[in-house]
Amino acid sequence: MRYSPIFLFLFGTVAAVAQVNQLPQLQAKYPSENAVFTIRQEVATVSPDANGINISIANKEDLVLLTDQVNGYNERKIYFSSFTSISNIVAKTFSADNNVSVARDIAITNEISPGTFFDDYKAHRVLFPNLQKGSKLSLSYVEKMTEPRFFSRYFFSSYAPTELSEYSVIAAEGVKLRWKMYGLKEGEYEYTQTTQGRNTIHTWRVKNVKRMDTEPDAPAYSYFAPHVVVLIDSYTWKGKTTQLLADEKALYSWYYSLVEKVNTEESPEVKKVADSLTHNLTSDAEKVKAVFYWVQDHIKYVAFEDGMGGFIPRESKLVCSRRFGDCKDMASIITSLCHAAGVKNVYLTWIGTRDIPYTYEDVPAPMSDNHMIATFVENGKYYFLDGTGRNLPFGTPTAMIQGKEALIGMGPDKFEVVKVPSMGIEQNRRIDTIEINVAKNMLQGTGKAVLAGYDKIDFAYRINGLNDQKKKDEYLTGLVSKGNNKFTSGDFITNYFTDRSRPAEVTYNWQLPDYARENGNEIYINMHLNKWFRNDLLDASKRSVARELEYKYHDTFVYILNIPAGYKPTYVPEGLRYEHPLFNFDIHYTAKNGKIICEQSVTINTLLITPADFDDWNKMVKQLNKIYTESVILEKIN
Amino acid sequence: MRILLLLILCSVQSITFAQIGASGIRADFNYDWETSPDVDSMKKQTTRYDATILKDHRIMEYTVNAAKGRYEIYYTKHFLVHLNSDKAIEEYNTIALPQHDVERLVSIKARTISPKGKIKNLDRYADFKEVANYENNGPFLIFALQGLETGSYVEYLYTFEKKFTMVGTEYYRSKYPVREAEAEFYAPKTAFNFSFLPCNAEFVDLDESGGSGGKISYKFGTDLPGRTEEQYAANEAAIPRIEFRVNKEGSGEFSERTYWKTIGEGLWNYLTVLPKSEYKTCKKLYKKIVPSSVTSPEEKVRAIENYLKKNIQFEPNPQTDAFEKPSGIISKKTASASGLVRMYLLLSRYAGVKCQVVATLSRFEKTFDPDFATYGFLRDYVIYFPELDLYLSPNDYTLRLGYIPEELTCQKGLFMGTMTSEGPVFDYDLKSLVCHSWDKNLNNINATASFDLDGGMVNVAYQHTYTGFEASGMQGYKLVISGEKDQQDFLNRVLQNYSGKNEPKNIVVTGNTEADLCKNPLVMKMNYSSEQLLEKAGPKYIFHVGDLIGPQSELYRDTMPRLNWIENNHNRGYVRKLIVEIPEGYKITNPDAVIFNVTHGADNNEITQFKSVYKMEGNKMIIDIKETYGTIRYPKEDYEPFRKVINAAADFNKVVLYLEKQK
Repeated sequence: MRYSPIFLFLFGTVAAVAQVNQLPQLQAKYPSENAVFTIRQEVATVSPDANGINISIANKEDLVLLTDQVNGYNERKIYFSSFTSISNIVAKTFSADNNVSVARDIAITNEISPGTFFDDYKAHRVLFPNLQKGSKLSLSYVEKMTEPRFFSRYFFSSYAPTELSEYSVIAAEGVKLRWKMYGLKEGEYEYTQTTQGRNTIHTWRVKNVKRMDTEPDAPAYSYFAPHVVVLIDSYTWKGKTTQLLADEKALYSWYYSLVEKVNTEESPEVKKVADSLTHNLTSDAEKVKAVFYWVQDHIKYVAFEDGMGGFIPRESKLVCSRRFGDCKDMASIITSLCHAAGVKNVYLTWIGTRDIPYTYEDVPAPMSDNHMIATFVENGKYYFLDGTGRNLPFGTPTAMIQGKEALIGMGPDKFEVVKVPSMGIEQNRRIDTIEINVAKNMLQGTGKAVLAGYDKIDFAYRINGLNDQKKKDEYLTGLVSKGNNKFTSGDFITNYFTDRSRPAEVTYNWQLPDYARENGNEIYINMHLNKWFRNDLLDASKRSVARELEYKYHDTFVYILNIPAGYKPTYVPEGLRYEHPLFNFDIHYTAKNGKIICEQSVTINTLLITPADFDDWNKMVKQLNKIYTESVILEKIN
Repeated sequence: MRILLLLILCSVQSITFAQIGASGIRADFNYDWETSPDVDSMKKQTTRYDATILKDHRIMEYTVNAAKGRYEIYYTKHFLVHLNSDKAIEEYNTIALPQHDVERLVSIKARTISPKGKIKNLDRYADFKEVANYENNGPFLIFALQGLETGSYVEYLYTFEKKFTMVGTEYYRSKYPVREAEAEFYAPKTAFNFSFLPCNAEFVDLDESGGSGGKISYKFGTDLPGRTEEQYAANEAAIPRIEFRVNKEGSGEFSERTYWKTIGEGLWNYLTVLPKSEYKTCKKLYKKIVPSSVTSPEEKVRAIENYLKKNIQFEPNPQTDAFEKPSGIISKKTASASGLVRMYLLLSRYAGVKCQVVATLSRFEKTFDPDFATYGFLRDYVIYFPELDLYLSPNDYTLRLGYIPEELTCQKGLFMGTMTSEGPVFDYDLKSLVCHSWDKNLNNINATASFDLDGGMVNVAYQHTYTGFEASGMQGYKLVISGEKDQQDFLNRVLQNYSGKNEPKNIVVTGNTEADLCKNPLVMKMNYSSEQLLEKAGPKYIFHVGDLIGPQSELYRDTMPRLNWIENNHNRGYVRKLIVEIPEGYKITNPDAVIFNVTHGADNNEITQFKSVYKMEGNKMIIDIKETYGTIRYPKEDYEPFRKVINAAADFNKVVLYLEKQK
């Protein structure tokens, strides 16, 4: 390991500062916390040599335990993959009176990512000994990166507040960097750039960083957590310049080098499948559609991500024969099948899911994407084909890539960056029409729900190909459930869940015992059998993070109450509307021809409710809560 | 937390290898799958379910390897499943086999058989992947099946040499029907014999011959229905399985009790036979942590417990033996499960309070059967203080003396040894651990509701009191979440459960400090207002009095025939007093709506009941509810009456009172 003298100097200073016992001051400063980082620091050294570029990152952190509640702080994991190696792990517990215990219990574990069957992420699991109030848990290690394109980002916040959070990059002469700050405005962090010999030292420093809290339905961490992204544009060694990530073009050129040797020859097996799917189709769009549907239906998602296997799609003939693959493999087989069917303008496409906040322009790096799809381009129109989706109609992206940039690879040096649209409320609709009959305290009747867009796609995923009728009925009951948990339903007839071209339909019979309230000569019926957003207030004083929604939608419920013979309505509540461009509702009643009809609709026309919208959102919820308390009165006719 | 499975080999060591000779090492083992499977006959065995397991065949063979001078176990599993749907394909297209107890992979193969009988074999080297330490759960062997479509079959067959063990369990865990569930056991006649305990299914004896060719053999088989998870059930404990144990041959017939004694003695010695210096270390520590002013035995134990739970970290998977003995534990402030037990034993000795070690396991995992001696029932340690008649969990840091994890209560266990002030003395017993009656685990509500009719509001003065297990979850959770801020957030979430999202006021919480844990009730007092409790129907009001007790568990839709016996988490009681202050000029027209009387069992402390009565006093309606679950376990035949009690509470939650102007 090569360290520059400056690097050692930096660490030396920090270590000396941290030796001072700060417990009383820290306890006074953080009365409601159990632990605080006095420092979290990473120092990256980037230096070219004859063999390429060396990157090592020295990590250091000191965590001080402020209370007796020390459980849970003893374990720390240091993650790595086949692109990184970890060395020089030193983990020590300093007691309040400065006795030192060294952690010797360090094991390596495989840390398979959620949703992945196998990948090569691993961690060193460090156990700190001898914890008690006042202990300082001091950890340092060095991470070496073998792929400079994965360099780098640093999050200033962590699971405990941090007194000083600092990231430095020591760039040797000839290394060209670019950086961008996220989650912090100018003035909220310090940035210094100094020169030492032939090195330039960039340092980003934030003091008194709040603990990172999580909120339900929040967007991914990187949308709001303060962090800096630093990329290596290029480096020069002995007059020769190597481009890394200067711009989208440089990124694409690397990506292209990874995929150019994949599917170079047409395989007979792939050709046979392509022919069988498309032989009687004439238009390109029809052919691509047939291929896309076949892949969704026949290739199962199994992710093996090992080293560069996480970046290079497998050969389509292998995917075709295995009948399984990850996202890249599905993109690989979609493009190959289309090419074999004579449609050439279908391309491998890199994309980040909505978990990633960056644009390719700001961050032209692999950290901007985590997914691969195929794109069919025809007459200036783009069809995004995500093979990992199920029951997706041609032309509909998966919900997780709505609004994201697609990097479409069209050949050597030829690519486009195109934004995937988000599906609007016209596409994502549900209309549930319910006829209600009153039998003493019970409500019962028939219903018909029509589902389109992601609502249908999600539900089709649950019931398509499910043979277990009991399970299917449970899902369907959940879908159409109303009133309270006494609701039962049956005699389901489902249509078009496997037909991607039209909305799905569910008709059903239902019962809701003990729901109508009989009081003397009167029956009270609360017709709000679905109470959207009841109590769903968002508190801006406690929550600083937006709420994320999976998709936009417009839902309508039409309740048709047949007034029982011998009764007349004596009270029908007023309706109410709430207007807002992002979210709104409309509830109204009509009484005619022996029926009371209550029509309710709600629209969510955004993927993100930001704290600025919380007040308006709460106004809507409060109005809904109010109207939910109103019942219809039916009176016996004497 | 798990007891270290010690290889105390029940005197097996006394067998000499010379007695057995070199025979019996897998020479005659030639089990294999069908080279050309007959898909037509396979198809006939399939069902309408999403999948059918046609074969789940296990072979356990004990052998002696004289050349290496050791015993070996060869474990073979043959699995064949028909996949009848997309869901089933997604379930069976990847297989992960744990390897933590595997000494050596002898052979493995896997294949896909298409509905028409086309076979696709996996490549032994390319398609199987070894993962060294999966999420710190040890090694796994993983593979993915290829070319699957609806109607395909997945088949795999492997033989592992397993790490040597005298006991084991073969589970048949499947949500789909199993056509052939089989288990075969072999051992050299001269070395071992077997004992079995089939559980939760009728396994028939398929091979009555008892063996041949120098081997004893047993073969069991059955077919099994698919299993679904049920509520109020010990789903895991009810899975069909076979417990087995190998015994040394020719050492005479031992009773199960004798085996238990051997196991207990081994474990007791493992825990207590320590160098004198370790005892001395604990003697010194005891003096440091328990002031001489503390004289009551209970307070001494509490002081020891508080010290250990505050100062010593529990490490369930230690990679070092430094956490096993007091000297290492004190210097590292970290202990393994058995290390903690030693700390309690040794410190109790110097406290002069007798204590025993109890080993058992969660009753949701297995029912402890004293009539079958196996380490398989010994997973968790508990400390018992016979003079106090109190139990303590050494490694559950969210509980304190008197309460141990609820899954270990109402279960039998192996009580072993007594640590006295003179030192360790071995004795043993097999008996039930504590089973708290319902009045030890209370979840009570006192609520007084008054009305602001013009504002459409109900104002509630509310008090929620929790004791025992009903409290410890929240009291203990508070200890493991970090910082005041998280604790306040947690409290707010709890409060919101009961009061909607209207900000509760005048909140007073008592019983939420560490000193209260498992000792004093947790009490939350507050005032809240809610518009949701009051609906309008024209000029009349509908008061949701049932909502004062909050949402309740229900079993409304659960009408399928019950598979499993009923198992409650703990006995418990919900005693509620609801006072409705009727506004002046109004009356309640349907007060009888609150009357409930649903009971199961005799009218004593073991009753399961939901009873609700009321009385009118002036302008007040006073409702008294008593809901109790006094019996931890019922046979499945009692499910219907049990369900009715559960549903009665959920019905009460929907009760409304009508408020009308008096004429």
